[in-house]
Formats: sequence, C-alpha cells, structure tokens
Amino acid sequence: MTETGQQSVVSRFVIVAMALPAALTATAVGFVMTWRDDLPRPIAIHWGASGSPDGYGSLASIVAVALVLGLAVPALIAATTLPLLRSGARGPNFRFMGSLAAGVGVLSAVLTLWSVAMQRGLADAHGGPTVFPALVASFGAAVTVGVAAWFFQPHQHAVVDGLQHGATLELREGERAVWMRTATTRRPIAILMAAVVIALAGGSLVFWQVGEATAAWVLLGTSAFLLLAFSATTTFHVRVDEDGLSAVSALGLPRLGVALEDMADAGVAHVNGFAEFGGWGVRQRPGALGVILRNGPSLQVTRRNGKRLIITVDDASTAAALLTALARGAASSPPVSP
Amino acid sequence: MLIRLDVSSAVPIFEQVAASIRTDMAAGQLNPGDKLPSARDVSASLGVNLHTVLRAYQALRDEGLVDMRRGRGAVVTPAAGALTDLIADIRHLGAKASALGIAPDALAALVRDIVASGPE
Repeated sequence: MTETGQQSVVSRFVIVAMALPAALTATAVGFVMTWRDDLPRPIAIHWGASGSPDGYGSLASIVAVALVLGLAVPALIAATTLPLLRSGARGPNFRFMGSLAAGVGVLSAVLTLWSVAMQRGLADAHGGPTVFPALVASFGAAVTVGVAAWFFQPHQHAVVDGLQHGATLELREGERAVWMRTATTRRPIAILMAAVVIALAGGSLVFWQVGEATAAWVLLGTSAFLLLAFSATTTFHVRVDEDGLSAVSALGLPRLGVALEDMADAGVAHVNGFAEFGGWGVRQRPGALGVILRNGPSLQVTRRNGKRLIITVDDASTAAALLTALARGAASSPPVSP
Repeated sequence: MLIRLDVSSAVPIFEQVAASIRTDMAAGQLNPGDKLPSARDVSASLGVNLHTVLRAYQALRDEGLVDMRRGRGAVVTPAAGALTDLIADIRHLGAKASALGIAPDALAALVRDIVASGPE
C-alpha cells in the first residue's frame, strides 16, 4: 500500500468513526432542544414490548442517552482502534470498527430525533404513538450508513505486527525442556463475570419466590450458560514441549495448539483484544485464532500455512524462544528415513 | 515456568527439575501464590517418571519454597519470593567469576563450601 493509501485509511476512519457520529449527535441534540416548548412534560422515554410508552422523564434524559450512545460509544471504539491504525496496523477488523462507530452514531441520532419528533404537539405523553417506526427507521439507517462507511474506507490488507524475537534459548544435545504457564483474565474482569452470574442466579430466586416460574427458569438457564462459557474461556493452561504448543482451558475444552512440525515461526507481539478481535475470549479473525484474555504482550505462533495462533500469556518470550529452539533441534536431527 | 534437564548429566534428574523451578522463583517468573503445574503434566511433557517430578516437588517443599496440600497441588510460598532478592547479587557474582575464567560449577562449589564454613 502506498503512503497516501496509508494516510487515507486513518483520515477516512476519523471521518466515519468520529466526525460523522459527532456531527449527527450535535444535530440531533440541537433539533430536540429547539422543540422543547412543543413537547409534553414529562415526555415518553421508554417504550414497552408492545411499542407503547411505559416510561416517562425529562428531555434531559433523552439527551443524556443520545450523548452516551451517539458520542461516547463511537469515541470508545475510536480510542481503542485509532492508535493501532496510526501505528501502522491494518485489517478488515479496523474497517469494520469504523463502520460500527458510524452505524451506532446514526442509530442514536435517528432514534433520538424520531422518538422526540413524534411527540411534538402532544398534550400528554401517555397513550402516545408507538415507537416501532422509529426503531425500524433508525436500524435501517444505521445498517445503510454502516455499509456505506465500509465502502467509503479503503480496503485494508491485514498487516499484522511483525513478531519480535527477543530472547534466545540454546538447548544442548540431549537436553529436554518444558515451559508451562497459566493464562487467566485479569482479576477485576473475573470478579465482574462472577457478579453477573451470581446476580442472574439471585434474580432467578426472586422470580421463583414471586411465582414467576418461567422467568426464573430463563434466568437460571442464562446464569448456568454464562457460568459454563466464562469457565471455558477465562483460564488456559499453556504448555510448550517437544510436541509443540498447546493451550487447554481449565474446563478441559476447548483445546488449541500447534504441532512442532506445523510451526513456521514463533515470537512475541502486542495484541489489543477489542481493536484486533472485537473483544476478549477465544476469538477468531481472518488468518488468526486467539486466546485473548487481556491486552498486552502475547505469544504468537505462525503455522506453515500462514495462519496464526495468538495467546496472551505472561513470559511469552521464553515460550517463543523454547519453541524456536525445539523446532531447530527437531530439524537438525530428522527421523531416520527408510 | 521453564524446566530444563539433561538426562546425560551426572546430576540426578529430580535435582535438575528442582533447580529449574528454583531458578524461575529467583527470576520472578514464579511468584508466591502461583500454582505449580501438576506433576503428572510435567512428567508427561519431559518424558520422565512421575515419581521423579514428585521427588523434586518434595525437595522444594522441604526447603520451604512450596506448600503441598491435598487437592490443591503445589503452591509457591512467600519464602520463594525472598529468592528474588538474591538474583542481582548472583548475576553480579557470575559475571565477575566469568571474567576471571571461573566455570559456573566451580563457582557453585566455592559458594557452597565458603557458606558452609560459616562467617569469617
């Protein structure tokens, strides 16, 4: 990619992910503020499953939601993605993040405008119009603009950070070695996950006591499912030995790995879960599978077919050095051919 | 945690395993509260007997560096954290010995004998 192409990736990302949501939010908030004398007090700010209003409040609460959804969310996306783009990282994921920020900005602006505009001239917000047309219009506009933002941004060939090969390790002839380490999510995240599971289970108990058996079962099921999903993806035992690299969840599944014969390169690189994989956990992006439990240094192993396995584990440089040394040893003493 | 061993060495394998783990503790790669991998996993990866690895863990327990509790496995004790205070001095001493042409084994023997003979 040429230097100008590189520049336009960043500038167009800034346009779709930052300028567009900011301009739309400012416009939407500006309009609803000029309508404030035509609106019922309080106005409807929440609508039930049937589409009719069931929550009422001040115009300020609508503006607050518009600011969070239309400004803060795109800003968060930009704040995690832009530094990586500026440092030269490229990939379809970054392009998607730009589109997502644009779409969220549009969703917020259209929803704010429509849901307030439809209440202009009402004496009382109770029994006001249904919110469905506003929802359909805002989601439709969000998807349309999101797709447009995708095509407005230039194509990005995935440029993955070069692997760093810091440490080296020499294995003498006949020497054996194993490297083992447990990779886990950071404690605050683990506590948050536990709190969600406990809150859902507690909620189930409350519903059970008030006689809402169906809701209780749904919450209990969700709680159990999340407990299973969290325990399968928060702790991995990572091992490097003569067989290669393996990462096994504390639950026993999933198991991931690269056999030594299949390994082309091993090194260390910085990884940002949100920007590169769209989140944390066991994650996939084109050309790479990741056990992404945190941001920061990661062990990255490239297979012979070019695909990569990425694991965020401490002391990754020792693991990479050992993998390299083991591969070198295996290559210098090939099995006796028949 | 990196464990290296040389089966052709005269040093018993369990001592080599224990020494590797001790080095990881001194280098701060294993910290108080960390759990050592199960002896079964280590023995499978290194291709050595399970009892050899267990013997290494027991040696570390006798030194007070790990705590072995039923059902919890081997956990690194706070005493192991104190080893990190030595690493800078050891590296310094090693560099000095190397500059003087003294081999690591000879240096280790010197340290052992001089420490054993008590303060001057």
